[in-house]
Amino acid sequence: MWVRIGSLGLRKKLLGAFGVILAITVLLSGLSYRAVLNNERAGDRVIHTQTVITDLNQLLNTLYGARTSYSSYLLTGQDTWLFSLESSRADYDTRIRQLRAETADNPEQQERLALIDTLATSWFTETMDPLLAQRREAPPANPAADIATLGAIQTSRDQFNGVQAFVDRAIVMEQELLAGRTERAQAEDMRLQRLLVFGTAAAVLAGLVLAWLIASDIAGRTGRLTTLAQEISGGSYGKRLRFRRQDEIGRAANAFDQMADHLQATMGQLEEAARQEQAGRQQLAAILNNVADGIITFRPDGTITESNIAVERMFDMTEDELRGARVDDLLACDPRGNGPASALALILPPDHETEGAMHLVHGCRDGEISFPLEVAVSQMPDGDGPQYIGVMRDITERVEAERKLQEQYEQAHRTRSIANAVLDAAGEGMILISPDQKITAVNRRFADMFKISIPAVIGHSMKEYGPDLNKRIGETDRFREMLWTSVGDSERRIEDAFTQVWPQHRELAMVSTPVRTRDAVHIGRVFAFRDVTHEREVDRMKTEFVSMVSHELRTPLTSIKGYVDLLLEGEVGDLSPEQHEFLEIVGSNAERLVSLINDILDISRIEAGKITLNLAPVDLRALIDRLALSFRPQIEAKRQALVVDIPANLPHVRGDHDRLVQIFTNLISNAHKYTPAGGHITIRALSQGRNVRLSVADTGIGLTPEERAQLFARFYRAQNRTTQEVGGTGLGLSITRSLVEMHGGSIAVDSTPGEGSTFTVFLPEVPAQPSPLPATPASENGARRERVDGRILIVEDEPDIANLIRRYLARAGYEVLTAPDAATALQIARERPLDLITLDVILPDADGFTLLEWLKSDPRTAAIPVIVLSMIADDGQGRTLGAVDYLAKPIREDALLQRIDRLLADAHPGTILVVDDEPDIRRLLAQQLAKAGYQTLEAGDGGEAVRIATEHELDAIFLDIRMPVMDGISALQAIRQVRTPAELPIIMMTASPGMMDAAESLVASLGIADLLEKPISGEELAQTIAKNLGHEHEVPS
Amino acid sequence: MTTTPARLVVADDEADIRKLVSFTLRRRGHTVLEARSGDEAYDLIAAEHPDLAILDVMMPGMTGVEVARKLSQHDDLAAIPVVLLSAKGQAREIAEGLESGATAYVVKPFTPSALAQKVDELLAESGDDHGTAPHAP
Repeated sequence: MWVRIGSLGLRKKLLGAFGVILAITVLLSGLSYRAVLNNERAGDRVIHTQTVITDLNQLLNTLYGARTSYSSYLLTGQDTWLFSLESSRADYDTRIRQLRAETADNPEQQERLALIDTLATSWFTETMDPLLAQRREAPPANPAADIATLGAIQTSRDQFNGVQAFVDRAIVMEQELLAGRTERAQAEDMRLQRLLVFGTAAAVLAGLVLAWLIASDIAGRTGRLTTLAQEISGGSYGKRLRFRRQDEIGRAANAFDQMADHLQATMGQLEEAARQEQAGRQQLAAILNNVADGIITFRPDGTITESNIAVERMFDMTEDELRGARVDDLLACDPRGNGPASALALILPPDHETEGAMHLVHGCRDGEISFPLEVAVSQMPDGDGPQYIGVMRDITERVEAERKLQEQYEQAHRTRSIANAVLDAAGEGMILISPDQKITAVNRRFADMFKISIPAVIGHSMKEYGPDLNKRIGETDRFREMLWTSVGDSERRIEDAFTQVWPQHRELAMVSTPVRTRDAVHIGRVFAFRDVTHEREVDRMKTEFVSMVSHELRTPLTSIKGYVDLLLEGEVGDLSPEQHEFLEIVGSNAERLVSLINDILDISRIEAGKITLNLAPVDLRALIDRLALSFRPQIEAKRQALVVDIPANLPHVRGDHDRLVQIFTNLISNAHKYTPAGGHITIRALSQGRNVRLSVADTGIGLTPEERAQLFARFYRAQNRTTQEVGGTGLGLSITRSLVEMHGGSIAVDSTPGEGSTFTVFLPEVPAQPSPLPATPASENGARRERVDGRILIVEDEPDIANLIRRYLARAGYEVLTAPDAATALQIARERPLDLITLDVILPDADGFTLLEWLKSDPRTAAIPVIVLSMIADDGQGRTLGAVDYLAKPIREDALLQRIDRLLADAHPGTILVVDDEPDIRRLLAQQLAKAGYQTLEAGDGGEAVRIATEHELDAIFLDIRMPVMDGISALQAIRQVRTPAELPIIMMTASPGMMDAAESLVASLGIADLLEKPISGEELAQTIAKNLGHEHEVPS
Repeated sequence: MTTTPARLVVADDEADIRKLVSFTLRRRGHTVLEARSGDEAYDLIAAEHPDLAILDVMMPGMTGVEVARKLSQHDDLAAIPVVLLSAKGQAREIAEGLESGATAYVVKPFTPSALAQKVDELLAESGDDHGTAPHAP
């Protein structure tokens, strides 16, 4: 609202203010006028009312006159009264009519007047007139005494009083009306007065306020305008008025602001222009002084007029020295050149076309030619008199750089020649193939080796040339595949071996590495082929040589050792103690030589990669137990304690049994040798990650850190005081480490000198679950299975199927025999040790189940696990007869191998007889043993046990002591008649502790392997089995 | 140890070793015939039909293995147990030896008494097989 008013012009605003005052005044006048009119009307009413009252009173007077006249007439009978009466009545008519007219606006008074009129008229006509008429006809004698007259007078008076009462009421009413009207008129007067007083005051006040507001607004804004004008004249252009109200002052302020804007912009432009000019000048100066090029201006006669700092530096002169110097003082032509002698003559442009051309001259310092210089001259645009500008550059560095580049180029050329010469002289044939399979380089040896022409292949794609090269290699497909897969590979180093077939037979060793530029861009791959035909031959010769030498050494050693043994055994007579001792020294040294030879043979075979591991799951716990047992005599002889702490659930490791024996024999033997009498040797094993960690700890002499560092080196032995008494070749740990590493394991040693050493071997575990074989087994290259030991007999009459199964098993590393019929099978099974038989159900001479019965009834063959292979999918009969597994034809390679692996590896079968009269205990034990992979036989009493032990090839017997008919002790004694303790370990069992004591005394005399108290825990059972079945293998008969 | 005296052939080109073996076996009461080469050994065995033959593997002419193979192919001589003596002790070499038809393989150097014991065992076994000599456990 204010804004809208504010935007009005000042004049309009003033007009507005006056208008407001005028409006108030007019309003007041109007109001006053109306009040006056009102007042006037109120006065009229009062007057009217008073007239009515007066008329009413006069009416009453008239009526009174009429009464008086009537009465008087009646009393007197004088006609005067009659006339008077007539006059009064006429008067009354006039007056009543007048009154009725006057009170026309008051219905109440009208009504009352009508009533009065009725009463009066009734009084006149009905009371008076009849009597008057009567009187006139017969006037009484004495009217005054006439009772009728008196009565008429009385009646007339009563009627008059009635009319009077109404008239009086009408008067009272008019009086009340009058009073009210008077009061209203007075109030109206008061209001008028107040309105006039306050209205006037308000008008005056409004006028004052408006006047003040307008005046102060104008004064304030003109003040600011003045101040700003002063500031601008003082040079400060930043401020603006920015009045919002667009009245006269606002517009003036706007105009002023615009003027200020313009002024400021103009001033700013002026300043900017000045600044730019300044900066430009400084930049130009800076450019001139910072350009590496020297710039001079000179006159046609060669007098220098201006120069920059570069020129001063270039010629080692000051600005003053330069000014006035001559161009020829600074520049000189090449004295050997055949151009003009004066540099000025050379550089001055003869015409516009040559202007700016570069000239090579020399710069002079102190009059001497001292550096090469390049100069370009052009004419100056204008100025006083013709002038030139010359731009000069010292090109010493460039000339130098060019010289160096040339040198480098020559150097590179030489290097390349040398490299080529070296490459060509190299014994390896090399070819460089780019990632896009182009042959980028080939050395001479390669060309010679494969009989190719270098220019014919360089730049060619392997796609074109590949087939030609491939036919030179024996294993064409493998070679091609290797090339295709490796060319794009920018990371791997690839080693491989191939056989060359053309133009000459060669064994080739190939090494391929990626080639990268200095900034690691893969530019191809170099394939280097080395002719190793001769090396291989030498290797073979070396191995043969070692083998021959070791044979040659063994022969004399055989004599030495043999004769010494004969002497020591007293075969040729008694020996003196010294003779005996000395011969023992000779003997033990001969043995040392033998083990040295064995070790050297091992080393040479390891080096030649000729040791193949027969990998199979190996139970380290059993292996160590057996080893510990075989070491026991020598350990006990040295009064050492050997502790074996291996959990029963230790996972099997994948390894070559014999090599593992070699590894741990070496470690235990070392521990034994390097530990003083009375020391401890502790063997611990546990599963750690995917490895079995087995440690052999001793309390021996220990190793210093230096010794430890070289421990696994060949021919190294701990150098210390006890060395003298310790035999050994120093090759054992080297071989041990090689063997462990061949197993994919590792060996570490921890030791404190004087306290002992701990050797820890990590070997990869066999996963607990029998893992299924790879989906694509031996049929594909590379995916070869690890070898598993075992000899398997295939009984199968169909030659095709027999061949198929043979191929599966042979590929898996088993030794395979075949038998086409039952008779042959039985013969082979009796003659050759077998690990497993696969059995066809239908055979030409007997059915498979009959053969199975024969096998199971013969002690020599009963323990061989048999897998029945049949077209008939029913394994009931086979199982009843003792087959361990059943496979339906057609035979799947993976299924067959999985079963066989499991049978041969995880559960090495042995046959154990369980003897107990309690069927439950017997069965429980048998089940536990079966779970551990053993075949079990059961017997309920001693007699049966003896019969079975005599008839069957058993690996152990668990024999209860207390049994009916024939007790355990008797059975034991009977069995010992036919089987020695070494042949057949017998584990006695008893449930009564008292019996334990009694039985213990029999252990030694009867050769009991172990004595167990029932109930027997699984752990105890496992320990017992491991210990005793190991015993059987270790102790020679 | 008591054994039935037997007739044995010992073949080794090394005189020392031949003598060592012969001496040891003679001490145990056996009759020993000596041969200095494979060919000589074969002829001797063919002529004498000994109870057992001990053959060195590395001999001039026929090797011990070749002799054993030749014997095994001869119906009359196949039953004669053959012990091979060799300085070669690698599993492959032993297996090769045994495949030729030899009964036992003894790696040099050996302990004379152990060799003698082995010979006795083999004699006892072959006696069993032929049912000519009683065998007490």
